[in-house]
Amino acid sequence: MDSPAPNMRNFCIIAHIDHGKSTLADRMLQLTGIVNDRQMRDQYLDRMDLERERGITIKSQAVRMPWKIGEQDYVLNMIDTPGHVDFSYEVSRSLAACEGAVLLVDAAQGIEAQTLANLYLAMENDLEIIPVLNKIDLPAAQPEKYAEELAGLIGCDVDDILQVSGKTGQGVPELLDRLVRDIPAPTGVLDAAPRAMIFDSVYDAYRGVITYVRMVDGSISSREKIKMMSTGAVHELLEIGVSSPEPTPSKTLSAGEVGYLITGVKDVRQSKVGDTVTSKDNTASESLKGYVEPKPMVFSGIYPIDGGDYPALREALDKLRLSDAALVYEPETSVALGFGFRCGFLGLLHLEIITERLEREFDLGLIATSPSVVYRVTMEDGSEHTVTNPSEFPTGKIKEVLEPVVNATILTPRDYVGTIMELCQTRRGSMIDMQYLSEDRVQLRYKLPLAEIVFDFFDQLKSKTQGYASLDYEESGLQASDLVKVDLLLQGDQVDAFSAIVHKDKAYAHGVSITAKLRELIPRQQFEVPIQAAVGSRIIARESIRAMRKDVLAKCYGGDITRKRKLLEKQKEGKRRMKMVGKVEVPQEAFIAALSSDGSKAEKKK
Amino acid sequence: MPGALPVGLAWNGQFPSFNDFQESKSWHAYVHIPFCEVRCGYCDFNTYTSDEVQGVKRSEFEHSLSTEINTASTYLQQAKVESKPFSTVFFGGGTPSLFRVDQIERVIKELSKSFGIVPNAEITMELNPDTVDQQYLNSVADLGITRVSIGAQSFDPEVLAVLDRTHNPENVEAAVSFAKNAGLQVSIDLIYGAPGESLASWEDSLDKALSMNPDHLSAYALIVEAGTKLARQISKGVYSEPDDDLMADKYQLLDEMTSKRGLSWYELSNFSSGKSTQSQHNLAYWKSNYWYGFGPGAHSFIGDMRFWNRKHPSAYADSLSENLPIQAYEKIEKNQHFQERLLLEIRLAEGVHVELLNQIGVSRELISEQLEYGYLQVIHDRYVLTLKGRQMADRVVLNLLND
Repeated sequence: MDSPAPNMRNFCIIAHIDHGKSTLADRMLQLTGIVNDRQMRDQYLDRMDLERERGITIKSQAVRMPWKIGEQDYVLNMIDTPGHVDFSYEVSRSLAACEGAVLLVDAAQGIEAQTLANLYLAMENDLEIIPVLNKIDLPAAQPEKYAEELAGLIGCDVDDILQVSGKTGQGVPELLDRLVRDIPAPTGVLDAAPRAMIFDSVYDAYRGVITYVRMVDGSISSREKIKMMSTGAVHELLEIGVSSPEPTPSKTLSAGEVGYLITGVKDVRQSKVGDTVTSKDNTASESLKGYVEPKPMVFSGIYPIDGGDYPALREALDKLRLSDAALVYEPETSVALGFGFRCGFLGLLHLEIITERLEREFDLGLIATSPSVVYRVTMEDGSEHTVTNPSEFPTGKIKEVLEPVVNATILTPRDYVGTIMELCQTRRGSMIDMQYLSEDRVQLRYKLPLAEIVFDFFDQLKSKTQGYASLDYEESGLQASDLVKVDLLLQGDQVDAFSAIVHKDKAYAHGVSITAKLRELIPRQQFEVPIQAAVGSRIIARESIRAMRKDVLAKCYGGDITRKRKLLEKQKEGKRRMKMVGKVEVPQEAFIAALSSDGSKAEKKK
Repeated sequence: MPGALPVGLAWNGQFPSFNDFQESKSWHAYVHIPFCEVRCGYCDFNTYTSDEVQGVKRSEFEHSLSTEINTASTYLQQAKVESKPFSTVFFGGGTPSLFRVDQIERVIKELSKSFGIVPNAEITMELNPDTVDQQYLNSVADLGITRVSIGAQSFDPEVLAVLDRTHNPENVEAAVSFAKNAGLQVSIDLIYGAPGESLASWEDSLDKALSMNPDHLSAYALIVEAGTKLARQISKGVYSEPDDDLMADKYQLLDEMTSKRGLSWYELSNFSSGKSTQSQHNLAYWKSNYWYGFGPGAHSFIGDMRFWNRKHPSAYADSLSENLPIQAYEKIEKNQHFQERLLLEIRLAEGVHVELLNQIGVSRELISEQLEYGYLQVIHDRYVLTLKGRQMADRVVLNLLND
């Protein structure tokens, strides 16, 4: 089949966080001359502060770059893909928009599990893979060693693997030549009804939703009305164009091209990743394959620390939703935490990004309860319950509890295999297989409950392997498990925020640890406070906070009075921030400390 | 470094108008003598250990105090505040007994001249047991001193070492008898709860102090003030933090042993043999009478004004050449004043009048909650802390002010 755009190449870069994708992209922008040295800033394409700070790309974006080989002009469309497992659906849509992929691997670290997962995804999509080792300028780089590993993985010759440095620019022109040479020109039918695949949809405060598309067939002109094939919704086009890298309007977008559409809609949900765009007047009969509704995997209750911020939190979530189609939430009340929202996320990183954006961009103080997964509970009487919050776990005779499981892929140096097997064992994992990628690198595949992963698996994995092991996982259905709900009672009152669903064999250990933790976190009260953990009506662990006996400063003379009054005002303020559980005053910090999974979050922020 | 002064409104050279001035209130003078021979590890008072602090000499410091007293009376007249003769005077510090007799005399004379002192006024002086002898106490008694407060703190050498006190515990007994011989009322100051002090050690200290038959005893649970040497030692782990349960046990013992010896509490940390031996001066603070504090860092309260002096002796002395040495002031608003009154008056054995709680608007529920906890009891028309409640006084105030 003839290409509708023979001089165009669409590619993406598959890389692990830190492996230098953004820096390589910066060099490409400079070399192709679309960003000059004066305009250049580090990680040019990363839009959000958060992206630049964390060194990761959350949302993808496309850039059009000119390149010349001899006298022939070419157009290169680079589609930036998110690097994280949480966004694997978005990755798959970005891949579907390309004909080729640069597999970028740090020459000092070798390939990581997530990259491997994305590589497999690219290979499944029949993308031309161009293997590249980056950071060869580093003293610790071992290009020969990792070249061999890569060659083994994709079945190419070691000599085919390019060696570049995003930092110095070494090897980058050769890479650009290679893209033109190896990646096939786009396929598609120019004179068919237009079909464009949405691979990204971004909310911009000034322009509304900007939709990034890959034109597959036909063409769309700026004066047309477009139609979303999943919903049938019709929109007026305000602008179409290409990014180079700043948005540049154009009259048409044709098969093979990558560009953007602006319709004036304000909500990314109306322009969903994976959907097919066609023309209202020249509607395609069939949509492109692969559209899936985003499905939240991890849930957490998000509450304002100051109850008065609830309306502000709602507004902030409504705003974030405009730019994040995967975010779902509904109002929830907790006896302990007041009014908040139960939010669904694609995964832990997604959760972390959203809470951080809420705090940073909207200046909200938040408590996020420890993340939980979705359980399906069938009762003896046949009724079924979907549980996204442990406090909703039904009481009564339970026939079966189903929990989501994942297939996890772990890449590790061989020395840690034993440690990792042990960890997976304690996290209720069952091994699928194990295989050597090279002399000293091993791929382990395990079936693991998602609940174990969202708890602290990743942190444990990293700490037990000194950071060498990497993890990727994909959902793999449900399994029946022996799960129970462990409740926490303060002075006999159940505190919903502290309820947890755990495996029966771990209920006791969990009960002991949470009661001990709370005993440390809750200050002494004016009366003795028993802390109990219970499964149903059975108490499985017990601690007690003794009554406070002294709360007075011995001296109060003339010079102390002003100080004392000011202290009192401060204490009153502090008391207002206490949450009352029955008659027990629980400081906000106790909730935060007890609910955040073992301080792992705080550590990551360092 | 001594504890920080509060932040207030800047003093701009003259008194703003005094509101809520009540002529019926009595007037009281505090005189701060900011010198010590050594600094104790727990102390965050405004005091200095050398004889001369940046040009301010201990041996001549009475001149600065006299100047301040005189200037204050002029400024108050200019502000149309009618002062009254002082009902009590209190020499505190620091170590007032480091002043020579003639220095004390000079200050008392200036107070009498500028403000007046009522006949037979209670005039108290704090003593370090190491720095006095019979002759000194006879002489100050002749000047009108009626009462001494002796800083014994503890009789356990190990506890004294932790507190950095250098006096010899045996000197306390001598000081007590010198004072009694001179016809002075005697109060002994103790501190309990220092790191390492056992219940038995405290019992022994109490027993020794009480066996000297003082008219009055002040016993303070140690407060670890931020910025003191002791606080640093605790944060470094040299000493462990005071244990509140042990503190509570010690307070109970204190209450028991004092009452056996015929002393009863009239304020949380103060016990006396009778009404006439209560510290009238300190009661003035707790009952919101008017008090003027002279000397570096001293606080004053008149009408709705609270003001405080510059803290450092040389800054204090320097500013005296042209003005009062006031650092800043605050105007106490009516509801603030009610809250202050609650937090002060609740400390007293006579308790808080029901009218004050009404004025603050404390709900019935909150009051009955405190009664239920066993923190408060009702005596006629007043709410009085129970023994258990005395240890929880600050919490009770916080509970009552819960809005």
